[in-house]
Amino acid sequence: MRAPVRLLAGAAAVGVALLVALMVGGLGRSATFDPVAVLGRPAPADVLPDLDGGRVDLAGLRGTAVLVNFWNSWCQPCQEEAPALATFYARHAGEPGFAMVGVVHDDTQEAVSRWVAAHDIGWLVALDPDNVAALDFGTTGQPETYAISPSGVVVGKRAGPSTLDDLERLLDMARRTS
Amino acid sequence: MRRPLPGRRSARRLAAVLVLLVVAVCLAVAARPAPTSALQRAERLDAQLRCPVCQGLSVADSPSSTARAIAADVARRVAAGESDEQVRQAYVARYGPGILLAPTGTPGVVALGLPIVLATTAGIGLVLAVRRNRGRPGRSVDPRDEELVARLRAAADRRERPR
Repeated sequence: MRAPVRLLAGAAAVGVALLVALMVGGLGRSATFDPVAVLGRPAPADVLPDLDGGRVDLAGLRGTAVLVNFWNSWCQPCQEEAPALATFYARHAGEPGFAMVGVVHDDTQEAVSRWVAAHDIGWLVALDPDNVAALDFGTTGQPETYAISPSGVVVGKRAGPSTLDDLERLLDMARRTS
Repeated sequence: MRRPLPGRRSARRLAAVLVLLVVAVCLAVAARPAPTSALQRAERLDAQLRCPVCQGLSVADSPSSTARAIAADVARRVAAGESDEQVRQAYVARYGPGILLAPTGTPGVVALGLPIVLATTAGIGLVLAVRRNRGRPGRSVDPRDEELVARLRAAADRRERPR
């Protein structure tokens, strides 16, 4: 084989290798989200409206172990999770250094108020009408529950309906991380 | 030194012109000006972000409330002066690299153009090689091989002839 032809063959081989590498690189890109992308990061410091015209300041809960639960009234898994949340909150409500916030998005204030009244929810309920908190936490649906340490770092996440054990584990993670 | 044949010379010229043409196209594509308006930038970013609550849809293509919220947030960030990379990284920080649907930024000259240039060059080289080989005189058959074939054919004819 003469030198120019050999050079062209080499160029072809390099070209094909690069094309294959680009294709494999494209195919190998993960189509799923990193479920722990926000873990270890400072918790979003959103200030959200509550049902009574007041404000829930997530940064203001610094110093306590916080569970943030994203939910809404029409979501079936959220309804399945509700009894566990109620039991869990009743168990820990009086403990110092503990707070729980339900953040509602994709729902109306009227529907949320009805749900809260009907289920005697005692924990903080904040509205997220523009999905600001949902995006800041990196939610991919609801329900999702995040554990925030007293130092304000996201240390745990549970996607989907949590059981009582899941909630206890999240609180334990939040408390163990100072 | 042997002078190249006129046909071969024109083929080489054609090859050079084609390579230059491909390089020029690649450079032109790679050097496309980025969208300048805030709306264009936001739309381009929406197309690069995967809707986190959908199956394989971009934020631009999804009608979900989450996608609409991301689009609004992207527009707000662009209006606030954040660069494209800052907006992308804000979402990577929340969702991980899987939130990026499309390759980021304008494709580089090397990444976009090199494989095309190399593949085109190889194709031209192949055409030239075929043309060159076609012009060569055919190889002569060894007389000993011809003799062997004739003997084998004769033997086969004898076997097939009815007795």
